[in-house]
Amino acid sequence: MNEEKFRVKVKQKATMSFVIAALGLLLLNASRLDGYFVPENFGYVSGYYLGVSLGFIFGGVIHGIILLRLLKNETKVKTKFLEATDERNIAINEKSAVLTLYVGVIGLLFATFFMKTEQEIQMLLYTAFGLVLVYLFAKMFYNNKM
Amino acid sequence: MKITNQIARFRKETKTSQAELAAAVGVTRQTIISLEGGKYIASLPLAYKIARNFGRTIEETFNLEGVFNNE
Repeated sequence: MNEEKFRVKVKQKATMSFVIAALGLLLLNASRLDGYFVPENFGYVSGYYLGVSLGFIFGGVIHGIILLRLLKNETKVKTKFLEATDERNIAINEKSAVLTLYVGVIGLLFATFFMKTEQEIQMLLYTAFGLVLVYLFAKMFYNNKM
Repeated sequence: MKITNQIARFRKETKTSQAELAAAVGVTRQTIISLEGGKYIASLPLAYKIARNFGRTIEETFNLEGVFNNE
């Protein structure tokens, strides 16, 4: 990958971030139209929809803006390009992803036996959040080890 | 199997900073620090780039302990 391709990739990522933000907006509106935000229907699911959609909206917009601002700074683009193509960073990301996958699979196997969740969406969100944490810890671990 | 290297020594000899070497071979400074500290083993292309950067051979720059000894 050269620097020009990296720029294109960053632009694609920025576009994807705004698409995610738009999806968040759609989800928020859909759940509002479905009546999840009226006081008599408000419950766990309303909270999930509100949290996920606001997370998508703000996360997508903020990430998109960060990426677009990055493209305007030549020095930052060079640094990020170096970080993205650095073989040690790539190795750390790969190892962390593999570890997360293992933990995810083992966690799901145990969850199947022991967890009695009332709502699938609740379990899905806990799993997703847990796996993000595992990935971040794995990156920190390998960053120190390698 | 342990791979040691002479990067720190060659760097001092040529008065090259870690950042300069990193920029020359296209990696981050952290990678050079890890290589010098023996925490990370360079890939073959990176090993070539580092050796060539110092005008040395791979055998002079990297040493596979217990298999070859170029000290």
